[in-house]
Amino acid sequence: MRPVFLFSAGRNPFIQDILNSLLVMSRWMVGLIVVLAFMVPVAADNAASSWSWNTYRGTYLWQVTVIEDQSACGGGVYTNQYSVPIQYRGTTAVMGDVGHGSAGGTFTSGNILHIPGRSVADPPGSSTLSDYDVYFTADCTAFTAKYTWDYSGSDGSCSGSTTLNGASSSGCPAAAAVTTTAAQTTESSYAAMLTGPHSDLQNYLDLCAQRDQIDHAITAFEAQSSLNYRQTGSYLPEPAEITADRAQLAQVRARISDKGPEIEKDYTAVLVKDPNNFQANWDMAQLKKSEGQIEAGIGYANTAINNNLAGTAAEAMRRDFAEGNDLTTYPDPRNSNVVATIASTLPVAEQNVYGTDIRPSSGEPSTLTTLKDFMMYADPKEASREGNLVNQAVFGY
Amino acid sequence: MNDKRFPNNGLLCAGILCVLVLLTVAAGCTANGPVTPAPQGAVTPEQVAVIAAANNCTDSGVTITDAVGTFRYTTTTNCSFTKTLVQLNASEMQEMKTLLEGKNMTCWYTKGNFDPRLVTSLVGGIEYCSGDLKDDITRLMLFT
Repeated sequence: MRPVFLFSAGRNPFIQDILNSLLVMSRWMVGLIVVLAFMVPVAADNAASSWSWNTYRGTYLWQVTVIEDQSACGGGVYTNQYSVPIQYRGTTAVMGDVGHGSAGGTFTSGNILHIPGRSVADPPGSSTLSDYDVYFTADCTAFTAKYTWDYSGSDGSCSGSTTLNGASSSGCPAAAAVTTTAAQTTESSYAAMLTGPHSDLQNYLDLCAQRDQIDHAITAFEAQSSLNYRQTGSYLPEPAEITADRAQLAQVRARISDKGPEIEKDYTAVLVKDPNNFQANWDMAQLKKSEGQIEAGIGYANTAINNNLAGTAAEAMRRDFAEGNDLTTYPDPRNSNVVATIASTLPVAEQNVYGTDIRPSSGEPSTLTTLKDFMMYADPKEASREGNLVNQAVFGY
Repeated sequence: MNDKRFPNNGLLCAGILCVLVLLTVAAGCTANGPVTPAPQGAVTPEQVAVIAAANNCTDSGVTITDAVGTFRYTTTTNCSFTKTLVQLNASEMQEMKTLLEGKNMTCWYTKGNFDPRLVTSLVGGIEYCSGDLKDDITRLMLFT
């Protein structure tokens, strides 16, 4: 069909032909754009429908609605929402804590993750959870899962169910590379960056413990010698081991002076990029505490407990303690006199820890105050090791 | 999620609660179950003696029973103080008894600067100590 010419260029047929050719081309271009406009979403849909979570490696954050049916326990149906990371490791994955602790599973197909049954502490008793499947949609916007549980404790026994509905608007990881998934990957890369400094910190804290032990031996001798002077008018002769201790103390202090700033520099490299990083702040609190800089330590501790990983960390530590000591139920002030006494003593004791008042400041999450107590009271190396549990649970480091 | 409730009848619960309160008042005593924390603040003569021995850095060993359990306190001329949890009270849950009994912590200080809270309290002053007992007490803070 011959196109209808709309332009006229006077009497010059050459120019008129060019203008009409351009008009024909522009019509084709408009047509092409319209066709592409319809084709691109279709192509995108096709790409999404081929997504399989069992080929992905990385951490992805889901908003999960947890519906717990406790009606058979004399309770009701309770709904809570959590931000839950799932760490995808190819054919396996670890789902973050949705109320019964984190759980690992295996993909039985591209988008179905099977999580085996297990028993968990569920204070004041424990619960046996059924195995279940997590069904992910191929467009990466949702997942669903449901498991049943049998609870048994000093307050009775009953059964119920938990339904999980995950949602995300970030799209599949490849498409969301510059948004949510990138943030998670970055967080994971910080965790990887901290493995070296964390290991160095363990050795450093050993040096600090050695310093304190030698220092005390020397101080105790000097106190005895001073007493002898007051009683007899002469100081005690210094034993050879104390002289050796003095030499060793000087060496240990020199190593501490060398190593401390190096380790702090490594942590600072992460904190410059991610000031609220949980692991870096937690470990820096221990570093400062071992250097006697308690106020600085409290500052890092406060930042750590305001990180959204703090709750996960506290639960990981509780679980680690319960499992490590074969406790079938979590101790708490209701079932343990010792824990009740610790709870009632802490508010007073907190007024003087290393000579500093560490009571909760305004804006501090009240549920995590005891996490700060643990950070400040615990042996620095013990606390540092515990603080790394969350990195192991979430990032695998 | 972990809040199991038995039973669900509000009137029945209220009735039972009233009866329990009346029985408690009639008996002229306060609840003495595992939820009652150890009283703080009252210092016994035995505790005063331990604190004095520790402050003077003299050798001593004293066993004292309080509301938590029985503790053994030893002090040395090197200004070190060791607190051993010998036995928890009978009302304590068995798993905690298995966990804690027999464990100890050692604390260092300078002469005249002993922290008396190490004798009168379960928590106060333990930041300067080390040992299994200290480690467990600090971990148990997470359960309060």
